[in-house]
Amino acid sequence: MSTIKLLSSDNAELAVDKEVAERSILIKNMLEDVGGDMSDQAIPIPNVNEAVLRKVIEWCEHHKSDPPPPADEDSDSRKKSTDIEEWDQKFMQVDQEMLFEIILAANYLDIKPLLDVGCKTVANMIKGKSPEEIRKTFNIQNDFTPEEEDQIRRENEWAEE
Amino acid sequence: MVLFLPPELQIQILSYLNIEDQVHAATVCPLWRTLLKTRSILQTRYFEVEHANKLGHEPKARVGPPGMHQIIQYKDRYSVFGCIVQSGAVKEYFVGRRVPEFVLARRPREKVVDAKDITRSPVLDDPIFSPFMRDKAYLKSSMELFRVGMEFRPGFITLRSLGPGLDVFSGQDTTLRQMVEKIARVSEGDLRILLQQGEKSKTRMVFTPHGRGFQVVVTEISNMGTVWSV
Repeated sequence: MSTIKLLSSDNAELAVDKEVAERSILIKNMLEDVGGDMSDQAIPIPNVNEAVLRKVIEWCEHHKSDPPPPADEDSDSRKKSTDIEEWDQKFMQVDQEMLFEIILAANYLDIKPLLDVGCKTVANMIKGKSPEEIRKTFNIQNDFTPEEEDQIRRENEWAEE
Repeated sequence: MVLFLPPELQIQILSYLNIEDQVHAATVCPLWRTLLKTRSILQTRYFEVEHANKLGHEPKARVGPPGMHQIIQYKDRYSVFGCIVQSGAVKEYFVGRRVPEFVLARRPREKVVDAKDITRSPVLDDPIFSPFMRDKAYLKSSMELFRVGMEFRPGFITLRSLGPGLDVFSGQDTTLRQMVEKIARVSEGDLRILLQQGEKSKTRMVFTPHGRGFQVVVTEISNMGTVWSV
């Protein structure tokens, strides 16, 4: 099996099976463009540091033989369900900074299933919480103007528990 | 920090939330308030055709009349959406949970608990039927089938899509608010005759999914200080 090298933003060179790296559509397309042979040259991944890249590769390793996602992009099951398989749940048990880095890397590298898992993980952190609890969870400042605040309160008595 | 993610990713995150969580999220910060008004988020508030087909395969998926706004079952099958009507006018909109109330009656009654006032919520200005549904013919037939009629059984009053009744839709853009207002108006006369209720009585109605439409159940009537469940 052929191996390729990836170069993280902080100049770490990581060797990866081609098949694993091709979970990334960005890398897959890039390899197709250059005609496949990248064995001696590392592919620069300028947006992703080593720690995050290792984490992403770990995910790709585990999911290397997953069937391709359904062609229907708007498939509703993807949209509605926030169920996450057990391995992925454990994988996503990282601090928030890492979680958001993984989401950004998955987006940049075009690894849709990983992006979905990341976004679902964040959605699950919002579910069932009051607005104040959500702010606390993500360290969000309440920067509504007093007027907006007042209007929102009137609109959304629903949100007050 | 979640707010530093590109907006399209934040929209994807918010799209996984149910309506109640979306309402909470909209009051967190100005950015989310804006993002939650986008078309891609509105799209998540409707039951899909595929939902109906998947019945039994995905126990966690909420199943309702395809193309209809999920507020009528916004959380799970015990969630209700309803209103309080007086003299043909809607006084209050609410969401809550229905719980069976087994009293000395042959038919179990239902009681609404944890009702939250959503009268001013912008969600009520969403169209009742999905503006995104691809199957326009299906949607049209749903609207044509949808009639409000009235049925009276002892101890149980159901206003449902029996037909022939009064068409409550002025078009595909009919909002939840417009629909409920119209149902309140057209049912007022019938209610007064059937229940011999006075001008001042208040009626509590809930809307629950039923076939391709929903049924309107009168759960409570209060008249001159007396409250009784129907």
